[in-house]
Amino acid sequence: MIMKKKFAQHNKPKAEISTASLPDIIFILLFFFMVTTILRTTDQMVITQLPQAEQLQKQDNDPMVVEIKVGPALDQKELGTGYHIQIENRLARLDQVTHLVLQQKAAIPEYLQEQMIISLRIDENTDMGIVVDLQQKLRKINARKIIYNTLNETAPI
Amino acid sequence: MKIARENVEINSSSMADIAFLLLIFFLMTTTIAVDKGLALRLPPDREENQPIARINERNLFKIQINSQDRIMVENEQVSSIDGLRDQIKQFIMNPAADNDLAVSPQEAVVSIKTDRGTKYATYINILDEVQAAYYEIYANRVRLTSEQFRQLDQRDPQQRRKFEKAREGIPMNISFAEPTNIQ
Repeated sequence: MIMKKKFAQHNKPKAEISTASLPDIIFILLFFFMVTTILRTTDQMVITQLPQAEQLQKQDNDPMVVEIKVGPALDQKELGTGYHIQIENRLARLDQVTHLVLQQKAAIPEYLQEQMIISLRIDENTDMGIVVDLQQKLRKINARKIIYNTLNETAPI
Repeated sequence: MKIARENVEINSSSMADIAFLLLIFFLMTTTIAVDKGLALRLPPDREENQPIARINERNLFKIQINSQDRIMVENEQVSSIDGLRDQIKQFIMNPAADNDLAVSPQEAVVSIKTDRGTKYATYINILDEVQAAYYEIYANRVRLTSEQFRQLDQRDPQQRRKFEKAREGIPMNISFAEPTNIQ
């Protein structure tokens, strides 16, 4: 009886980790993500599974970039399974490309217009036919600085 | 006179939960933007009645890809592109002054010809190799690694000088032949 009481009375020291600074840590994480993310302004209308390459260069994320996407439509019920061209926020036929690119160019601040970069996000299974047609159009309007957006391929060791 | 104050404290233990929810929301809704790629300058548009420039055969390195994604390098079919990079470097620099390779790096042209049915991924693969060859040559001239060379910031005058020094006399001549049907 006496022994039992002795065990029961054995009181534990209060061991508690203070969580008062936890919100601060989380907030710092949150701010980090908020600051480093860029919000996209265009809707994705085509699927672009980008190919991989090694010799990548960083693209200036500046107002002088015009984005062209090529790939199968996201909404295949409506648009069929063919490949479509998307320029900024709308789908374009090949003969509209010239017009739309020039329109985008006009929206760029004037002193940057000559440095316009066309960013091509092309699905890896696209046929070169459509890519070449697109490039011919771009050459015609002297929009010759292009970048093929690709994923980073980790070099085999 | 002392006023006895009650210990007033807002319970902030749920603050962490709120912050967590916000964090998770941002994590879920953001996609990491891919803003890297193969930079390139397309050749200028050819005028209607401008004669096609004749290029000496030895200054031209031909790569052809057909619609089955088979690759032909200098008129020989190859099964893999291993070694293509070194072959191109050899062709551009021509260290042994071989009569079949480029007269000078200035005049060397690498031509990539694709079929309409060629897969874009195959083309990117080849272009990647060709650019790798050039970047390695450039980087070698200014004693950098290929990766360091590609990361040179053109807005910084000192780095720009390095960039220009590396490219001096060796333009990246990549030609894109108009597509035809290659058998």
